[in-house]
Amino acid sequence: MKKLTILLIAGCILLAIPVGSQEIKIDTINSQSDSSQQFKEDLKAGVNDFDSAANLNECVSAANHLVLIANKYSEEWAANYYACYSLTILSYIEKDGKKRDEYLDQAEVFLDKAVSEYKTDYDELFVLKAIHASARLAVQPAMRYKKYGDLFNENLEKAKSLQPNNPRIYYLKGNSVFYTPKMFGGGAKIALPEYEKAALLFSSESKDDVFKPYWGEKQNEEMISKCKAEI
Amino acid sequence: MFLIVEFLKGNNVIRIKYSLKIIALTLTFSTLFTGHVLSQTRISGQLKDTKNQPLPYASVSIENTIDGTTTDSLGQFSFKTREMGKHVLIGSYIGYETKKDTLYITKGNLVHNMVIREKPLTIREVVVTAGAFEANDDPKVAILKPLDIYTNAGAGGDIAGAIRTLPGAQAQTDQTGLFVRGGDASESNFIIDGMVVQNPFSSNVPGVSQRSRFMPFQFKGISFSSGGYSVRYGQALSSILELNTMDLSEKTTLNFSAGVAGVALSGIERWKKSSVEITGHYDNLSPFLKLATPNFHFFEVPTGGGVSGNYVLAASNKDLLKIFLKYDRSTSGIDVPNPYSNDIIHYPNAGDSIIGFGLKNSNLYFNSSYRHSFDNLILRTSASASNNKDNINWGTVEGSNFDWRVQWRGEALYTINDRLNILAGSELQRYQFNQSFSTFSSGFNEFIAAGYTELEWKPFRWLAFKPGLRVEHSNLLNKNNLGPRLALAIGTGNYSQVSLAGGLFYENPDKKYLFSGYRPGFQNAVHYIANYQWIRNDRTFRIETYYKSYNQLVFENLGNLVKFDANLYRFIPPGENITNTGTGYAQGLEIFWRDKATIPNLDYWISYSYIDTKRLYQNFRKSVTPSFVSNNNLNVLVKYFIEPLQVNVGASYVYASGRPFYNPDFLLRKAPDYNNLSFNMSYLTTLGKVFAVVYMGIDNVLNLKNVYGYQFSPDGTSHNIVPALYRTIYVGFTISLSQFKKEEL
Repeated sequence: MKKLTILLIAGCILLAIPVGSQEIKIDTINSQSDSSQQFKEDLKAGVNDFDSAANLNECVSAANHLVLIANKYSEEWAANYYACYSLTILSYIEKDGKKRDEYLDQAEVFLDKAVSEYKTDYDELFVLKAIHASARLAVQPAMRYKKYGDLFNENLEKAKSLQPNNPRIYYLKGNSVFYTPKMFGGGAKIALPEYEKAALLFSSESKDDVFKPYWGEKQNEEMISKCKAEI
Repeated sequence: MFLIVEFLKGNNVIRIKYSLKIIALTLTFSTLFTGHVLSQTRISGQLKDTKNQPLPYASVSIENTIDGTTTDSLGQFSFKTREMGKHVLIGSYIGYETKKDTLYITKGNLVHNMVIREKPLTIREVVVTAGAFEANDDPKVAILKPLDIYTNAGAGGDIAGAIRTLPGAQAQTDQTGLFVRGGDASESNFIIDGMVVQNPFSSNVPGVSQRSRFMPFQFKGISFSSGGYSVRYGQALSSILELNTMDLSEKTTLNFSAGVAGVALSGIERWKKSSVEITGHYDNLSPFLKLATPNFHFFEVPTGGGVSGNYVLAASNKDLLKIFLKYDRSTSGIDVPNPYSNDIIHYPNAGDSIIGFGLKNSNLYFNSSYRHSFDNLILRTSASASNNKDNINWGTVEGSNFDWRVQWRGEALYTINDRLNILAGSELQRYQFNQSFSTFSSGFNEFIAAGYTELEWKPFRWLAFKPGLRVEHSNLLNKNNLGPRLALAIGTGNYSQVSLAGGLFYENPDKKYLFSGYRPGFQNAVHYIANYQWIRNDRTFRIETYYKSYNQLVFENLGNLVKFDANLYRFIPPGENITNTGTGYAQGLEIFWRDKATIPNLDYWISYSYIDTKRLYQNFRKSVTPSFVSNNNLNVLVKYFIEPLQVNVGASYVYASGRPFYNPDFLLRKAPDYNNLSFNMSYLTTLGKVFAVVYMGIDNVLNLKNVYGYQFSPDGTSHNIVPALYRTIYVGFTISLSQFKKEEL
């Protein structure tokens, strides 16, 4: 009976919490699917914040938030996936080479965790590995192009063999070509067809399930206009 | 509501049932309190580093929740949470240690400032570098890239030419080979994939320095040791130039190149786990010679041709097999000063001061290596075979050189833990040299067996020891030697280290004594090297000092009556008093500075070597500085990439102080200083799937009339030793087609 009293007191504390708040839902209390619903909402909000970040401040802030989500829901592959993705993107924005590598070291922990939690082969995880490798390469292109260039290509190939219609494969390929000097067979003109292929696939991709990554369309559009401006 | 859920965690099912009732109850109550203000706690504060600087973009959050925020430009943070009670507040930022503070969260606002500490700089692991210059893709040791060798304006695309611009090597020479830290050309060994190359350079032409037979782009890594090298190698008193052939080729390509000195065609086919490269070349120097005014008369323009093949198989990521095969032929005829003008026994027409030197050479080289990795063990084995033939006309006298070599090496590298590994191996070398000159002929056979072991121990990240021992047996000399070596490196900062190296190095007597049947013992050299190196963000500074003592050098005690003969090709008559009583020393200071960072697209390096050396050996009369040594050598190299034009331009300046020469009475005469300014440029472009490079270069832009030294005749008169050409110009192009389909050809 004493325990019941404690529970009652605890229940009273709840009175201090506003009822209007959306977190309070009767169905979030007792079933697991509800906590996963909560996770999905948190993640979706986090991913949306990251996607719509308009400046560096918002971008870092959204990435920090995605890291918190991944730390809390560490057994969810998708939480780890987005933490890795956002840190990898941050590494591109950062200018200090050492810090870029630290972002990527952090991202790699989430990448490995995402892969081990997913358990089977998944094209999006190979795409993630590829973008992570290309971010490593970008830190010291001359020294790393061999190792990480190979890793980048390898993972994109694997992703392609699993799902040839994944638009991010062609978007990343386009980036790699675009940033390769013209004299080594790169440049806007050769990159454009890859981006155009990606655009076609992006247009038929559904963008409402956070568990099916859909990032990249906006960036792809930007690259297409960049290419067209250069040609 | 979170609080309730958290509270329920860990309680049993019965309590959950109770709690459900309570929740139903409280929900009823709570509707009565809608709009109550005290709902969340606001946690705010500022995040600073230990220097009291605010940290923007840092993450502040409550552990195991997603309640948190990112600091603003003033390091300030503020966020709301519904958590209550004891919690952990985490502050983290890239490059800083994560800080965890325990908080008691109650109602109302909470202000909590945090200080986080920058991560301590990790001391880079030290690498033993004394004596060695690395050109490869390993950023820990590389000072150069293989491409730097190729684009070096002073090197003319020649590996040895590029090495001559590094500290320790003599910048220029009228002789073939590498002259390192007071050593002559025979004291340097040229190694490919662990195997000694017996004829690394095109066959000797008196007074004309020859290029190496191998092209720089065939190698992924080049390591030049100007002393204190590893126990894996022996039979070199001065230096080792180690080259490693390419791993799997990246892609299938077809390349064609043409220049003023010849044409070449190569094809690479890449499969999943293997690749093959086949190259054919034809050389003809006539266009090159037409662009310059030779100082010598070429009665037969140098021509040649050859094929080479390269096979690499990586059956798994634990195996690597490489096979390399090369065959070349060449012909040339050039009028040179007669080196035998005072040897009427071998060359009867002593009056000929200039003779026609005709050379026909054929060379076959084969090398294979295999590596297999187990968990903690790597096994490596390699084997090589080579065969070289020169047919020579010394004016009216016919001669020939014929030599062959086979070699085998097997070794194991066992990793005990991350701090300790041990290398053990053995090598067998069998070679034969034969020569004939007029009616004289001679030859010798050697079989050398060697065993070695080397430990690499890194008790700390900042300290490394590399002690080793090499044992050798020479069948020809019927003697053994024992060479201990030691190298160590001490980290002195995040970007700098001090290395020390030393050891005992042996080498057989020069071939000319062995040809004449003399069998003196091993010669040896003791090296002591100290080196300081600083590498940071594409800037490298290196200073190295050394002392070498030469012992048991082969010495011909000729007495003072016999005139000194400076002929490098002289024959040693029988019955001389040949002993191992020669000695010598070399000491010096070398500085290297390279900067790729200060100006975008500009890369330059400066290499300066000072040497003080004397030796009493061979037919010297007293201990003197040998005629292949310049006391001061300076190289300045600049490369700039003009990005909008896709053009690389490069220039090199070489200075070498005048070398000493000795007349027949062994009196010194000093040659003038040597200066050379070279220039090169290349244009890179793509035309569809074709990648093309167009290049041109000018050596000795100022057309300086350099005099290398003097050739003395027995009567004491001398004439100047000059290069075959002063200013030279070369142009050419390479086109490369990759990722093509066969039908496109």
